[in-house]
Amino acid sequence: MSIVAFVGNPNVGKSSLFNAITGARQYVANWPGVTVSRKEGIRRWRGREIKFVDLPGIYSLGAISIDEKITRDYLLKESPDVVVVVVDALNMQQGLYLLIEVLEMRENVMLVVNAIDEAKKRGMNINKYELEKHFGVHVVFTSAVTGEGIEELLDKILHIITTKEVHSFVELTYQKEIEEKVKELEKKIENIEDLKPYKPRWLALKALEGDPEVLNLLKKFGISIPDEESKKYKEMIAQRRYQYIDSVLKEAITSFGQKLTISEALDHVITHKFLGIPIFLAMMYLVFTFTFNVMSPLSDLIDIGISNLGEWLRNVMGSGWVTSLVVDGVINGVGAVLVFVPNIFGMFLALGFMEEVGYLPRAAFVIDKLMYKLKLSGRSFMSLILGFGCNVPAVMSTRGIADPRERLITILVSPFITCSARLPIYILLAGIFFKGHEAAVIFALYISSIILTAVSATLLNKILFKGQPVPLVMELPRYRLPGFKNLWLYVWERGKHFLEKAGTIILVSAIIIWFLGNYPAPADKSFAADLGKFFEPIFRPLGYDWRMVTALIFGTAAKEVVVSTFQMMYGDPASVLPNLITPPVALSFMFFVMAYIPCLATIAVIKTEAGGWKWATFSVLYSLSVAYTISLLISVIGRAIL
Amino acid sequence: MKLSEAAVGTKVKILSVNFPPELQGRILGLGFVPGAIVEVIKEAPFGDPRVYMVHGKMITLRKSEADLIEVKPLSRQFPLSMAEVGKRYIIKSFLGGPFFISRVRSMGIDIGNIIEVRSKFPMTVVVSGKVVRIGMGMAEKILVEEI
Repeated sequence: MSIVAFVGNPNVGKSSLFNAITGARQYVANWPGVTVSRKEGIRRWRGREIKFVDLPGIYSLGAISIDEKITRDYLLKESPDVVVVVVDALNMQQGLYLLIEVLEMRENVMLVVNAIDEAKKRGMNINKYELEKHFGVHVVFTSAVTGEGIEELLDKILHIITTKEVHSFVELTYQKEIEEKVKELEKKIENIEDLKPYKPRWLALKALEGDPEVLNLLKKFGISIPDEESKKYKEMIAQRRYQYIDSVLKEAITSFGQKLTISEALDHVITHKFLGIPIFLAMMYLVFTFTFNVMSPLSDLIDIGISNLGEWLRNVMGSGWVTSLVVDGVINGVGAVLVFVPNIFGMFLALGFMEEVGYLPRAAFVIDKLMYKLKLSGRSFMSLILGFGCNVPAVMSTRGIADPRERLITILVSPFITCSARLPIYILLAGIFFKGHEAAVIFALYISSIILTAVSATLLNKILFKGQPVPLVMELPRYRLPGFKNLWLYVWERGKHFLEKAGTIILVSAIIIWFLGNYPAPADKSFAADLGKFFEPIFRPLGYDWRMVTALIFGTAAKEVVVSTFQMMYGDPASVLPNLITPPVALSFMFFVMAYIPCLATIAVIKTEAGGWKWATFSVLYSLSVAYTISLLISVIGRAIL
Repeated sequence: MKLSEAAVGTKVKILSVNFPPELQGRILGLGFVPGAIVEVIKEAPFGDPRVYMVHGKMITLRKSEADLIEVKPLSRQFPLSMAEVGKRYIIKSFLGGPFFISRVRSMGIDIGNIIEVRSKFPMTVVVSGKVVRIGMGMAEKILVEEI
């Protein structure tokens, strides 16, 4: 089967084009860098099957970031039959730079100028033949939105596959000094058998650019370039490429059309020096309102549905251990989580809308200064904010963070953000022990959770990465009207993950907890009680009752479970608890709940997103020790004062 | 001078780019190459990061990153807030939005007019034959050139 690879800058519509061709459902964001790893799809065209590969968006073919490495290795090793370089019609320069780099590396290349509909709307006039002449490649104008040019593109691809004809051969000549060096290196490279698979000119140019991989390869054959020379050459080479692009575009673009006034006017307000932050806060508030207030009737509906289903089953099945397992265990256990599904989908809908329009990069820009202090960037703030709803989507959303260090730190600190599942515990205990001051206590817990997140981020950065700040080199894409299909894809891709978890981890833990709570005999004599009593000595310095310990252990499945375990163990916590523990111990317990082990679902996503059990284990141990230390301090100080 | 020192609204030409090797390729690829013209578009709250326009793309850089790009001013334009007392300047452009522009126009401040700085702190200027008091924030958004 013939293989076609798509290469281009981030956010030029590569993924939309890929979807338009293959019919695949890959979410396309108005946020640079959506394709984290490559995606593949197959399309039949004129009786032939063609495999399409969508590679991550990059700005250059140096093998330094993960994305660049994936793309370059793919082009070098997998050797696709056609490489399609996609550029944005409204802003072709950076894309053409990449085209030049790809052309230096391989032969079977073509160019696609995407978003041609938008260019036309602006009255911009691009001459296809000038581009073909000066770059020596076939050019097709497309629009992934209107579908214009897609058939022509497929025909052109087929043409290159069958005839190997790639228009003409144009080679960009560099400055005299560079060309002389290239000739010299080429001669040496041509004589080495092991370097035959690569184009000598490409290796020579990359060596002059100081490319670490190529230099390493050439070092084996005694070829090296001093650092200070390659720094100079690298600048000269990049400069020449842009000179060439500018000169070609001067001829190819005959009318630039009007400027993008709507985008500018919007930007003026949204990223305003003083209004920027209030607007950002207002937007976040809207996301929360939408997530919790607008969606809560739906949650209530599901809640009612679940309890009715439980009642109905109880009537049908009668009493017995099977009924109890199904109703108390599975339906109530999984139901407690399913209740949050509308909230989760609502939150993704609101955030998807903001991302789709192009607001997220701007929000990151506006609040970057604050995040810089934590050695993070504005982008990770967006993920952390999600954590107030649920830590699972927060961790998942870090996929959009380009820098791997920043991504890992964000994943590891996000469980400290108080998620909505912890709120019921706060409300219950504050209501019993701090009557009249509930709001103040809960507010203090939220503030503490934010401080803990910030401190942890700084600390982890110092320990793991020696405090290097993450650079913020980010492109602000132009605003876009959100497409309904795209928005739905965004919500579904993320939301379905949550549903899958409910059907697996939560379901299993609900069943386990039911068994532990009911065997060999219910309540006091159950395994759950044994478990609590076994671990109780560890928590004795904190002053916790064994039932509280059991609740904490069950709470690792999902933090809401702490409240239901209380209900099961104490019957009526409000009358029983005050006789067992003092207010400082209750406060200590709330802090423990805030900080201790992320729930099972969060641990599972940490494992998949951070890559392996190592970080998930680290997260569990770290949060457990933080929780224990803080709670011990509160209990001890509280007891000393009272 | 460094790119980070260029005033908002001004255009500069890049002389050299001195990023560490692991970022250099990406920065050059984005269009920050020697000889390229960069326009300082705007700054974020608290003055950092800033948005730059290079080769048709809007790119954000923090001060720490813009420090690594050596530039020279392209135009002789600078904000009125940096003008000297007693000198006459020609008004070249405005950085504010439509509200700002209509406000300054109503005060007689318009592109092409001659403006003379009488005093700073508070800033008093003579423009279109009138003596006008303006705030520093306003003065930062009026770009002038020496005559």
